[in-house]
Amino acid sequence: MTPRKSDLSDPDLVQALAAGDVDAVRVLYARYGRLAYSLAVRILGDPGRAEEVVQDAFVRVWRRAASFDAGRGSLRTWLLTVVRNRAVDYLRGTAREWDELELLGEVRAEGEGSDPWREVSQSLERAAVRDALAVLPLEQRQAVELAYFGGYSQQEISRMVNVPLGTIKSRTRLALEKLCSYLQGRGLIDGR
Amino acid sequence: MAGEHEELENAILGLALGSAEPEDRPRLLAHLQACSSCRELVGRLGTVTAVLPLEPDPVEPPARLRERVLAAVAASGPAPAAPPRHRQPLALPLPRALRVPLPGRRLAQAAAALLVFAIGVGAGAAAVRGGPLAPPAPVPSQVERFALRGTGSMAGVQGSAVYLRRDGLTLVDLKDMPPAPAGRVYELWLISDGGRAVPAGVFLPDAGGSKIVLVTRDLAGSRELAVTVEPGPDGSSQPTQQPQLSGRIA
Repeated sequence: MTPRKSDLSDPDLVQALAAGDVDAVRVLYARYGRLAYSLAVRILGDPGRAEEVVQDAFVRVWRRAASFDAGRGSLRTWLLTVVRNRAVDYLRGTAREWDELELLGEVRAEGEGSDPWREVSQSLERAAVRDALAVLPLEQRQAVELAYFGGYSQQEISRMVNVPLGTIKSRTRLALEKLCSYLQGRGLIDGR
Repeated sequence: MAGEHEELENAILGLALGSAEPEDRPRLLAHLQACSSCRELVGRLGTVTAVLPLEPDPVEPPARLRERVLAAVAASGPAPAAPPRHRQPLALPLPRALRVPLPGRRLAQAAAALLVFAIGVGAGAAAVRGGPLAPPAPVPSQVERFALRGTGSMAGVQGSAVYLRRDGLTLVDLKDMPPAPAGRVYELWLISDGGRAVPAGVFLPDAGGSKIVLVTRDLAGSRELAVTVEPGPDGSSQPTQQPQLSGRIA
C-alpha cells in the first residue's frame, strides 16, 4: 500500500520535493509552517515581514531540495536555518549569499518522530531549549541571542555592549559549551 | 600558534551561529576543512544552533500564508536538477485547495489558478522531463501576464507578472535584481490611470537577485506596476524617485 504523503518521513519528503511533487510542499508546510513562522516573528517582530520570509524560505527549500542530502542533516534544521538567515537579512537590510547546506552535516539535530508525537515533541524541545538558555549567565545568553536571533557578528556585539572582542568570543564559546552539555543531558541533542 | 588557533576556534563558532563576518567566511571555512579539531568542535557545539530555532513562542500563522507559499512555489517553477531516480510526474493538487473554507478560499482559488497557469507555462519544460502533463489552458480573460522592463541600474532585471483578474491577485516574479543599497528597500507601486501611486509592498531580493512578490491589491483601475528604491525598512507612502522598473498592465 502506498503511504499517504502526510505519513512520509522527512527524508522521503525531501525526495518528493526534489522530484517536483507540489503536494510535498503542502506536507512540509503542515509539518513545519508554524515553527518557521514563529521563528520569523521572533526575529523580525513583524508578522507581515515574517510571512515574506517564510514564503521565501519554502521556495528556496523547494528549489534546492535536490541538493539536500538527508543522510547528512535534518530537513527541519535546514528549513529553519533558511528562515533564520532570511529573517536576519530582512532585519539588517542585507542579502548575503548564505549556503545553509554548507554546515548542515556538522549541525544535525533530530527531533522529528511521527506525526501524533510531533507537537508534543516540539513542545518538550522548546521547554528544554528555554530551560537551557535560562540557566546561562545573562551576558552569555546575550552573546548567543544577539548572534543567532540578531545576526550580529562577534565584532558587532563587542562594540554594542562595549566589551573586548576576546571576551565576547569566550562568552559565546562558554555559552555554547553549557547549552550543549545541558541539552545532551536532556537527550535533545546527540552526545558525541 | 596556540593563541592563533584558539582565536580561529572561537571565530568558527560565529560561523556555526550564522553570524560570522562575510569577509571572514572563506578563511574560516578553509580552516574548518583543514582542521579536524575545529570540525569536531563545530560538530559538537554546532548542534546547539540546530535547536535554538525551537525557542520562540509558537505563533499561529495566518491561514493565507499556506496559500501564499503554495502560490509562490508554483510560480517559481519546477524544482531544478532532481536526480533521475527520484523523478516523478509533477502532481496537480488542485481540488484540495478549492475545498478550503472562507476566508482562505479566495486565496486558495487563486493559488490553484496560479498552479494551473504556472504548470501551463512550464508545460514545454515538463514535457522534456517526461512528465505526462496536459493541463487545461488558463482562461485568457481571467489570467493575464505582462512584463516589467528596467532601465539604468535595473536594465538587466527580468520581471514578469501574473494577474488573476477574477481574484484580484498578482504575482510579480523578479530575477537578476541588483541588491538594494544599504538601509534601503525596493517598493512596488500601482500607478492609477490618473497617475496616483499606491504602495503595494516592500521587498528585498534574495542573494541571487530573485524575488516573488504577491500583490493582494486589485490592479483594476491601475495602468502600471512600478518599482522604486525607498528608505528601509518600511518604504515610503509616496515614491521618492522615478521608477527604474515598470510594466504596463495588460
